[in-house]
Amino acid sequence: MTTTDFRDRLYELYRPPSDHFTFVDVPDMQFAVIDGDGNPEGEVFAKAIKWLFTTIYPIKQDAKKRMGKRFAEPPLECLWWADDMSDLILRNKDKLKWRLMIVLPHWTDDALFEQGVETAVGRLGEKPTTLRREVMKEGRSVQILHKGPYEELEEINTKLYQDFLPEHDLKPNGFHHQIYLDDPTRTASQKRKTIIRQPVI
Amino acid sequence: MSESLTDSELLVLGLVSEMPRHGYELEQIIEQRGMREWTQIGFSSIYFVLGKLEKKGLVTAEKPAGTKAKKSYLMTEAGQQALITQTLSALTTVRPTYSSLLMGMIHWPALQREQALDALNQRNKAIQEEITRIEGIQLDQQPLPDHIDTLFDYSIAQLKSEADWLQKTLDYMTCKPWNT
Repeated sequence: MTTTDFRDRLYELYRPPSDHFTFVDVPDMQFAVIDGDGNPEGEVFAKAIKWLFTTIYPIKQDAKKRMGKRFAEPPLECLWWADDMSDLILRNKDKLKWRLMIVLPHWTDDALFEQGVETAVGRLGEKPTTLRREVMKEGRSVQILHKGPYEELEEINTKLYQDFLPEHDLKPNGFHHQIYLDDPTRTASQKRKTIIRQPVI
Repeated sequence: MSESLTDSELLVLGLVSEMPRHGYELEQIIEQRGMREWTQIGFSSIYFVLGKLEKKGLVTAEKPAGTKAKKSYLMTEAGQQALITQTLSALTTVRPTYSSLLMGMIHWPALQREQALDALNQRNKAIQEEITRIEGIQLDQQPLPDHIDTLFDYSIAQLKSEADWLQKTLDYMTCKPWNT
């Protein structure tokens, strides 16, 4: 893959337009993931994020060496669901289930991932039971970029699930997926960019 | 023409530029990001720095409705301009820093052979420890934005280059005949 192809692909997956929903074919990609449930404003969620970023650190350093200027920072991503899906729509935060994820280079193997886990264990203590490497298969998906406070995502969800999908005769075919392109501790809420992605069939 | 800001002022201005924040929040961020380690910002002086920035018209305090609400600091248009000017100047200006190594090597002949070699060995050890310490901070601070990650890489590369020099110099000084 040439550098240009690579950037185009990155843009297609991680910089969709913000003014309309677009379709994308998401290739199988592997992620470092941690599962959990409960309020995303709580400590468990924050800790899971810390674990993921610490775990991928050695993998990222390795990728930087291999890729040089082609390297791009991987963003935090999260899948959201609930036993009763109305809790997701109504944002009953305590009832939410989530899978926090960060994409891994395709060459990451058990040995490299284990090195990441060991690094994190050395700094943070006992390993979370759900921390693992997993391949995601999303395939054909609808996505859009949103610039603004996280609270406004609800409005987009309404447009997506109540208007766009039915109008195009589509059904969700996988988890509701959000990708956070900015660190909320360093970026004002009006400037935060988030991708909403929904695999469809 | 904007007068130049102290490092503390520039750092606080930078934090306010990310998003409006109140004093206590700024304290917390400075703590979390370990900024005290390499700046002059003391715990008590945040409000002092904010006051100076306010007087210069670079930030403005906004007290939201409600009696309990805290004052929130916002960056002004002038603040934005000052931030850009100062950042450009910080990036372009090369300001040499002088290590105590300079004085040590100049007066090398004042020492006995073993004393001198020992001292360099100690320095080598201290440099290695510093590399380990900074690498630890870089890891503990993850996730860092890439422009800050590279700043850690810069500090570590400098230390490693000194470690290389130390090793070479130690080898040479250990082998060469000593003038007594």
